[in-house]
Amino acid sequence: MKSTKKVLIYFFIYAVLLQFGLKYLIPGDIIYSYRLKYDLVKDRPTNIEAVLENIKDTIKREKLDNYVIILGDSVGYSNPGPSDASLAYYFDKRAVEEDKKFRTFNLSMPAMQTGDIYTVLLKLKEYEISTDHVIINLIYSGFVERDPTPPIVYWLQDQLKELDKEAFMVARPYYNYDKKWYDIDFKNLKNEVVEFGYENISIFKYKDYVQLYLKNIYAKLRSKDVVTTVQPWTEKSFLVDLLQEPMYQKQFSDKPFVMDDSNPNIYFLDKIIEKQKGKDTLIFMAGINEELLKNNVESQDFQENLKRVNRYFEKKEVNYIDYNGKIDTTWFSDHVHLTPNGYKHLADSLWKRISNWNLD
Amino acid sequence: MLFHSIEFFTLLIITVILFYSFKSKRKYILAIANILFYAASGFNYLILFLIVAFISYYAAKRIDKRYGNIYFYIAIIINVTNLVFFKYTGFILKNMSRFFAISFPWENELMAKLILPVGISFYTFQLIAYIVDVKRKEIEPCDNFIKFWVFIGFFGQLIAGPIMRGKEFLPQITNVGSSKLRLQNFKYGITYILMGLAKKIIFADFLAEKADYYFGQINNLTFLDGWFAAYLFAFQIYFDFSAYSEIALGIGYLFGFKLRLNFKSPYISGSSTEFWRRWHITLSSWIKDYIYIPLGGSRKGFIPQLLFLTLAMMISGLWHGAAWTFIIWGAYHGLLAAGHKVYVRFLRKKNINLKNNIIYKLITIFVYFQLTTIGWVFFRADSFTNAIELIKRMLNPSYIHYSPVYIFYFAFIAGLYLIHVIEYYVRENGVKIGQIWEARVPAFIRAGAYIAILFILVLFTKTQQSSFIYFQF
Repeated sequence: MKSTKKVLIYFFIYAVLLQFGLKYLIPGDIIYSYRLKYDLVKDRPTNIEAVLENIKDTIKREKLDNYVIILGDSVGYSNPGPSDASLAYYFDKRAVEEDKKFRTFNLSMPAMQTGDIYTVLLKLKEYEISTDHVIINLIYSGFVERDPTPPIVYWLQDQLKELDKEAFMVARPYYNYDKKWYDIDFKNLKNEVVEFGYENISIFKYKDYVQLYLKNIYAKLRSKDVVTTVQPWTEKSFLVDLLQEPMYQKQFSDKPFVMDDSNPNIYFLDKIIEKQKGKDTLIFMAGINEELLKNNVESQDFQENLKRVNRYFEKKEVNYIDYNGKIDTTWFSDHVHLTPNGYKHLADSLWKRISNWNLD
Repeated sequence: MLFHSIEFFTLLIITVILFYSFKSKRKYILAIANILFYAASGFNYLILFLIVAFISYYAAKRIDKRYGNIYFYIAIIINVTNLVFFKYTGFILKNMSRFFAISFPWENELMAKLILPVGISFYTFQLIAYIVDVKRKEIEPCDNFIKFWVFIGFFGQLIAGPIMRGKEFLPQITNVGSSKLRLQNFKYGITYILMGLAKKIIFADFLAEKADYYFGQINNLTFLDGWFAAYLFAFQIYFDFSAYSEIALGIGYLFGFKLRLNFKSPYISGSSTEFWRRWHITLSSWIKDYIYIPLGGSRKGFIPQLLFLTLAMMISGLWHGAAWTFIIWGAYHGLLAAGHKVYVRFLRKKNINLKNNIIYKLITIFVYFQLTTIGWVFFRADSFTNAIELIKRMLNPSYIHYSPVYIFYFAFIAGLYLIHVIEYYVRENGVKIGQIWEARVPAFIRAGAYIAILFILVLFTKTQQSSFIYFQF
């Protein structure tokens, strides 16, 4: 019995050590390297907690007073290229070259919607990470009417529910609730218990990152290096037909945008802008490959929609830039994403735009 | 409700706390836990299970009274019909259509509605064993339905065994009120549960992915791929099924019950007889006691014995699943068992005694493991044609294409086998190892080992929980 007690005491001590020390055993770049690890956060959105904690630790460790947060979808994330050809990489590189002591943290993620962006802003506040300098990317399809997909909060529904119930109730009709009455409460309760574990208990919180770390070690042992090559859109002949499919065409619908808060995109944009009041915020609309989607882009109604968005932002206290028509078509890797060179040019352009921010 | 799910652990922890807090209500607490556990898989099937259990309970009470035989046969027929209806209707209809060219226009509609109730094969066999044991006067009929429900529906082993007998389990339930909270039982319980979880999460689920990959492309496999795939499945099914049984055993210990061990390192068997004493022990002994011996066993001569053996094994195969591949798997094992009987008889006639020869023993283990592995192909393959195709590739040297990567693959299989042997050694010397572990290893190292196990289990747990293979039976 005495021996069992001793074991229990040691077990408790180890558990506490693991709880507070596990994150120090995982190399930082496993959790965040110029952008979050999409595969891990996609499969388990609670994995964003480890990313936020990592960023918070970096800010503290490097005693950073100034830093830029990038939020957005796959364009902000800089798909399909590697992380060292992404917006945050180019920003950090440029900061070093120009001897500026600031860092950029990219929390964009493919398929993120404005509801997700708003949720990340709330999460940043929770982690006491400043949102004084924020760059947000939007896309044309974000304003298109939802039927109800894609949901206005694509990844971080549970997080929004916890942080802003009112906004969650607005977003809720956009989820497909195909549940029986008796499923809802029990499954929600279970979900909350599981999420609590994944958000707060280190062995769960860092589980996927430890796995990734081990997989990387194994891959290195087997000398398996993954090299990502990005081809320009001109080498992807299938794109022309693919983009004619209804699923893609829907994203470029020229039906007039509804620009009041009955459009959930506007509802969340208003909330974002309200939240960012008095702070440096640059919102940019990702450009569309005009050559590849000529028929869509040349439509008068399409252009009118872009003007509607411009007019919306004119009335708001944020900097807005629409990259439609401003991106060289050779920089595109498909209809909207860029090549590494394209992202470098985009980063340079954004850099100029934020030059008036006090980031030294 | 899967054993490695949050719902199950919540139910288990609450039940254990209530069990030891309210000594006089233990049977009721377990009975309610059983209901909650089974209800999670479907309310309608819980009702069905309760009805079948009550009929069996009532019929058993009437067996030694007037019209006892009628009650006995009614109970058996109801149990068998329940199993046949839910498990074999599709199989029967399909084969009737195939062999007698009869069409059933309502077949698809019926099959879409017919979902196999979880654990039906296990609880049916447990109920039949109970009724037959009462009939044979090996046990007294249970005098209380709550007690009977705890026996037949114990949530620790309900879905995939071990198939418990009345004489083993009912007395333990009768005395459940007087069992004390023992630290040793908890230690055993948690050890078995962790062992089972490790087998399932670390090994079975990992091997499942690999085995599925190979079995999904049988027509592309080489000789060595074929063997590799079959070995992968051999270990996957062992780890998966023994994991469930060990978790069940562990749960039993938490309530002071001693359930039967279902697996004893089966791949170190040198013969069919030994294999079935080590693999799914409670099913093997059920088949022996309630099918093989009633058929005639060894009492009616050597040739009938071989036939009974093969027939019993075919029934065992059919119990596993409603498909010809399972029946062939059973027949294959029946033939192996019959072949072994002939071989032993031949050795005896020739006065050859190789029992104490270590090299002979190792050769038999090696050979029987290969034979078992071939058998698993029938069990795993999606169709008989696929099974034959894979076995053809495993046995035909023209499919041999060597590449150095196979050294790594087969070293991996050898590693799995080594773990199997270590498990055997640990099981055989469990008490001694446990004593050394507790007496000689410092507390801080033991605690470190426990936290490492916990961490590894969490690390390997998949987001999507995979079911146990035997849940489908």
